[in-house]
Amino acid sequence: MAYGLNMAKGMLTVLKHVTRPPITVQFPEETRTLSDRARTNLVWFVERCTGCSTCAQACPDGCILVETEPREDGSLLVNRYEIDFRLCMYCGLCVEACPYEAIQVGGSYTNVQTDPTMLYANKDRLIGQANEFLESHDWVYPNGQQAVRQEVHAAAERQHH
Amino acid sequence: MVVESDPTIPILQPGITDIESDLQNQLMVTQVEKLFSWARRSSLWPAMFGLACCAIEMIATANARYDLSRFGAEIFRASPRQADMMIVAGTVTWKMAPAVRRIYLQMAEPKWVISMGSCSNIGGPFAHGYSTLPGVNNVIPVDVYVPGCPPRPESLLSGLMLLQDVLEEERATGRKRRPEPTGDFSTMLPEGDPIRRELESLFPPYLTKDGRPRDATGAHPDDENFFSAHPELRRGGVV
Repeated sequence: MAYGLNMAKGMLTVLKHVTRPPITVQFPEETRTLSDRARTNLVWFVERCTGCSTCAQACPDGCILVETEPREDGSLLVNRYEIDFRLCMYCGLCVEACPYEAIQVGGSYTNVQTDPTMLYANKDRLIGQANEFLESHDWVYPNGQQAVRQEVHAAAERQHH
Repeated sequence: MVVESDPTIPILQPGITDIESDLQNQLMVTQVEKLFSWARRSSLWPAMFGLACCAIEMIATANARYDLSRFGAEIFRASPRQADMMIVAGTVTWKMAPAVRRIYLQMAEPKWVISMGSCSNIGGPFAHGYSTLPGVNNVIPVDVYVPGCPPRPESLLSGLMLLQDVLEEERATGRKRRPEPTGDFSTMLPEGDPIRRELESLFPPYLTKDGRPRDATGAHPDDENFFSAHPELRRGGVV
């Protein structure tokens, strides 16, 4: 008798779950909503960066490299800005340190490679990733501010001169 | 490391380390390749091999929310003999490195490796430390690198899909695209280090720990108990 009762209990659980929606996220087709502070790739916005290197000093791994040179008007030209994503531990301390929110979390998290050197992002690659992000997110930064398309393009142009 | 090879010991041709490259010049395959690559990429058998916090995300990937079995790779085998894919999930210390290499060698050919997380990619936060291997590709060949610390389950799933794409391009008997590790640890470990000797014994030509060539059973005629273990090999033939 007890056996039949437990079987009934089990079947009740099964029937309860039959009507529920499946929990599986069909990943490549659908994605989960990420929290604002999810540990995804860093995105660096050249138009917001002043070249102060606070991010590089805050990085515990030392995976950010900044090399600047003063312009005539006193501002800094960022010659090199490189992030080693092989080394990065996505802690977000650079994001907290940056006074202008030029480096932000919220980038791609599917950046898998067969060649590990492709995970080393130099300035051009970072600018490309930032443009890709802004274009796919309606020109809104990860922190919710609106980007101005002309400024972004002008800053990217300005880097080459 | 120059080693005089013993002609009585059967080893593969110089420069050839696995059976696939030995077969490359002997077999002609046509449409079978497509069938092989389809079969291989649709039923990967991962080795159960978690080392650190990345393993937690690997377990999360295998669970119902992300469901690794949708890609045909759900059964994590506890024995490397039954596995053909290794997800190196976590920090590989020098002490663990020979075990990683040994498990890789024990896996069934053809086999693939996913390096998951910053620690196994290049050493991560411990890259400048004394105890951590600077990248698992120094020990085993790696097909796909998944960045993250730890990577999200989506990242690992992307890595698996990339591996399946790599498999699709791979020829059934062809060489793999990935670079093989050199087995040279002279810049990382000091001379006479026991871990360095053990690691070097796990690379071709598979010497024993004291630098002698190894036979199929792992024993050597110079060993003390060799002939009592193999009486049929005793010179003269009479036991």
